[in-house]
Amino acid sequence: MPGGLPVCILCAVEWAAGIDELREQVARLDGSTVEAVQVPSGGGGRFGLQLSVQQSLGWLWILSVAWRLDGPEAVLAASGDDEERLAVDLAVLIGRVVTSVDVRLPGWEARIHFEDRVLTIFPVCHQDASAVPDWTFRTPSGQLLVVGPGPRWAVVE
Amino acid sequence: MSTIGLAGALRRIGPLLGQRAWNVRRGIGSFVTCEFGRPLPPDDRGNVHGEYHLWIMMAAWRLETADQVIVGSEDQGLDQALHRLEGRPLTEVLIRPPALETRFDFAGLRLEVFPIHRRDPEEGECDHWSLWLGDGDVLVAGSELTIEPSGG
Repeated sequence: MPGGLPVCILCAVEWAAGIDELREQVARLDGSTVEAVQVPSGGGGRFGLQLSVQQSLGWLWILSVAWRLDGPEAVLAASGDDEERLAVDLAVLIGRVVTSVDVRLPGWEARIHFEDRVLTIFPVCHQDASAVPDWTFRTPSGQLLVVGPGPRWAVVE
Repeated sequence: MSTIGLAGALRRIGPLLGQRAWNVRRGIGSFVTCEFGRPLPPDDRGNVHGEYHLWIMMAAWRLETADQVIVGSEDQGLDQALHRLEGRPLTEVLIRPPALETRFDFAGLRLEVFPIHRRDPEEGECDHWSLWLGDGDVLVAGSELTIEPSGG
């Protein structure tokens, strides 16, 4: 999992809870471009997007069991689809620019807009802080933004 | 099976609004079933359904209020949380294209259903929810909204 999430890191995470600060953090994704998609074998619908951010590369990993990519008229891909199909369907994001990222209350749903396509990450595990995060972003500088499970987030140096 | 548009689906749901949920239960995994209306005679397996029967299946979901999540479909304690819906009236159903994400609003307690499958009709359906309408028809939300005969 390039740029991914070593599980041991989670043992030392100090969770933040403020959604406004998280919104400031995720704004750093604005303007980045999708360079590559990775769908790990046996990943249960998880996938990674390599993003170019200000001439450097970072990795966005979607770890939630519930996400969906919608176009204006149709669903383009979703977490319950077959892995072989996901790799093909998610390739439509390559070359697309992140135009905005929104995190909504009360469910902490993240909506990442790639122009007219929207990736929605739908948190379904709210109670157990030790569960798998919903998504992470490894910045070019090496920081790891961890969002979820549920209403919590952290930045790991 | 026939396709029904969003407006047509909401028309079919209309008579259900205001009716109270009963026998709200978790099925296999995080499937949810819920009855409305008067109880019907037991079926072949002895199960008693209402005139209207809602079945949420191949989808993620959360039970929440306007400002707080009560439980998500991967959390522990689903049975206890779903019991909160017992006796509450269904006051609104909101269906959002293109995925047919659906909010079932029970007087402020919202069951938010999030589809997690993309299916082309020729590949076979993977439905998010079905609603037995009490007149022999079933309203099904899959890759599109359809009306099917009960037991068909």
